Amino acid sequence: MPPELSPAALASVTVEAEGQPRWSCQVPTEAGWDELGRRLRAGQEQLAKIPVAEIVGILDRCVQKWCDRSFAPRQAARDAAVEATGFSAEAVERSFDVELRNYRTPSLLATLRRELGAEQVLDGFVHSAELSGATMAVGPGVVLAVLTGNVPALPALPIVRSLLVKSAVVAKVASGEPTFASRFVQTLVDEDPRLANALAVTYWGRDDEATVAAALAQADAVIAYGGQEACAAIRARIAPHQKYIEHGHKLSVCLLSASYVEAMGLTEVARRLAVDASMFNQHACIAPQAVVVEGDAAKATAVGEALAEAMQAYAEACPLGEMDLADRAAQQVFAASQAWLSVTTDEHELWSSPSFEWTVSVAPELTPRHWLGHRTMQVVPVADLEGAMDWVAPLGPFLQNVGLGVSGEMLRRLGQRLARAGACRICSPGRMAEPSMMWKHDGMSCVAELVRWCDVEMHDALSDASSAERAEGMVD
Amino acid sequence: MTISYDDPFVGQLFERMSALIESDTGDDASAATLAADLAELARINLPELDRYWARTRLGQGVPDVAFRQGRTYLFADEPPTRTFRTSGTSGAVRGVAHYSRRGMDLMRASILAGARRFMLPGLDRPAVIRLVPTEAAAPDMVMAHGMDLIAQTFGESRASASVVGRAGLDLDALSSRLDAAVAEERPVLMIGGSFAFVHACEAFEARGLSWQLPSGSRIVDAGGFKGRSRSVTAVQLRRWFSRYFGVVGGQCVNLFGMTELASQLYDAPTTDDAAAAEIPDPEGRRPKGGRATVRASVRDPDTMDPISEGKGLLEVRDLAILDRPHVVLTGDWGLASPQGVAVVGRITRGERRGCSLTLDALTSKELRA
Repeated sequence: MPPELSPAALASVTVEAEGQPRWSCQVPTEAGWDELGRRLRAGQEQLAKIPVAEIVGILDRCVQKWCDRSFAPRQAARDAAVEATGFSAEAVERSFDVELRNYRTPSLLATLRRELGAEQVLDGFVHSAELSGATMAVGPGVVLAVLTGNVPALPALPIVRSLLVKSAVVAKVASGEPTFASRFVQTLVDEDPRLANALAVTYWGRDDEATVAAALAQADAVIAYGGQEACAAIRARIAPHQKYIEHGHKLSVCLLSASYVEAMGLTEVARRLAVDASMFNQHACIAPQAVVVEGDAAKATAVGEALAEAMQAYAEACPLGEMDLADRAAQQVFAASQAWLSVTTDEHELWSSPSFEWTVSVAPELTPRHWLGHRTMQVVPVADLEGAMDWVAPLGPFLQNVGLGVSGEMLRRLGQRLARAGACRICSPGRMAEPSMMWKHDGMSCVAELVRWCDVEMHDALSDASSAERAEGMVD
Repeated sequence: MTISYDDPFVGQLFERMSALIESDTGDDASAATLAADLAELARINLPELDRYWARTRLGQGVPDVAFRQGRTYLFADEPPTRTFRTSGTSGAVRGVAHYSRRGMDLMRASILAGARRFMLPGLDRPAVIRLVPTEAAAPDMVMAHGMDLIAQTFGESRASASVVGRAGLDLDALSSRLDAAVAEERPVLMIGGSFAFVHACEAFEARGLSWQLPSGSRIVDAGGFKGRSRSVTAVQLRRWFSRYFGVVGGQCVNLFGMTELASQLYDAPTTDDAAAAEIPDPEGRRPKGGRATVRASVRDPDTMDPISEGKGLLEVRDLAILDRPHVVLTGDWGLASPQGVAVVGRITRGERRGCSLTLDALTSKELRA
């Protein structure tokens, strides 16, 4: 919380799980939200005076620390994430590595340039030849970020995006994983105390309508992560003046042509698929749940068998961790079904480790109802890879990432069909878990969506031959 | 080499099963011997079963997918006389359960034995009112068959009826049947799916209707809320049974049945709410009563070993099934305790799943056709 908040503005809540107190945090009182809002706006005004390059530098230095596995706050966050998600320590570490390395200077600057043209538009007016004038981008005063748990380090993303556009942030953490955001924010403040009044991390319960309303009243923009229902509940409360960026739950798949498998070799193909399916324990929307293989059932079985070996190898280096009771039982039901199908048909096969560290099945068609997560991959043969679109297209609105193992003309043709069907990202198998910061997450320019533009055009002062210089002169 | 339907071994099995159902007090040893012989028949006539057990655990119940696939019938030389189908509420292919002549006899005997023990005590010719279609209207629905059978065998024919018509539950018909039973002071045995009762109670609330059904009346709600848009707890349902029908405590009985089974599990009889206070399930679902013929057990979610306490995978051993493997892994949660095994909902994935979408969360409408 910003340090200058009056004590009366804050209360403490303790969150319970299974009847036991699990963690507590500071929350604004009902009247405290107004004071927090004022404090954040004051913090944001200070933030707005810092050149964007300097903000990028602060983020970079903070993240550089977080990229070091021996950094104490990271270790503490790792332990908390292990406790909250059931991930193994190594699975959390790998998730942190993959997420956090995106927030280094080259990646942040490339993101700003891709989305805004030039990062300097955030500092003041920049010459625009098209306008014969100048343009400037202004971020929201206060961003409310509603976070989700279970994908370690993901909460950093909306905080980074908001700070890039010089917005103050209130981050609402998920009950299951409350600590990462506050530790990350603390490092930012330690790195540059000028950020202190622009950052707040808090929590409210799912049914706490009054607090949701109070928090939303302070927000100029909202970034929401969550499932269908949670997102719909927030969306319904967004006012016309508020910008809203929603990251709902999504699905991803992998498609492999016969020639790709042949050229790459089964072992390498399987290694790549295992990385894609195992990172984040398959909890992330970018992780594939299934792979469609061009060929017959025997080809799918060969891929499945190789994948099983690769999943085992991955699990030995990076164990899954622990699943809760419901997931373990669901895995057993699934395993029993697949065991029956595999002994009664030639179209099904099943491999799994005894404790379900991973599971690979072969099935004659894509059946999303059987995608259980926790490193469970379904392998499905298809005679012609374009035929996979019959299964993939219906997932359209929820399709995120496609690992497309094809080459040349096929990449263009099938890529376009996937794009039109709903896919937001296409990459090589093996690279699905590491989208760049530049990627248009969920198909959106997530930084650009936050800003409001102001253009100067048709202005007498800029209309002569030296408009470029004059426009440049408008920069602070 | 398979065992023919006319083989004396099968005839003897049938006789032993009939005797067990009839007495329903067979000791564990004889039930275990019978179970072993049924398993032997199943593994010889359905070689896939051996391979399934080799991949899972010896004796593990067959999963519901086996019934959807329709390959569980044991007698190639004896065409089934009757086939029942699952409701397909989950949108999947409907499961089938084929019955031979003997299999149907066993099922009917077991339905009646279970009803006699858990539904009928203290009732003489009740009005059997079913919130279930008639068998004629739903010939492949096993519950319609069973409830017709119970009504015909135990009910007062004039006062008994199904109150489900072509347009669904007929609340006017239900109201007038209940009015008539109250006027006649005839106890009612009301049977239906749990969700049908929720629908009826909500409608009666809106209409401001309630009854004090004659003493001894009993309500049997079947199943739970699989595939339904909403659910209520067992405690809430029993509260409604008291409020709208005046039927309380142990007179409210939950039944667990499956198309894949020939027998049903019923709540163990309880007399008062003090016993209910001992129920380990927070939603108040009671342990099922044991019968020699049909027994629920629970497998550990990690090891799949049987457990006597705690939550795990529900398995049902039904010694009234001759025509198919007699142990079924139901896909439900079982909660084992010293009082018995309660059925406590369908097994679905847990909540900790990050931002990867789970298709359970979607209706088919949300996906593009």
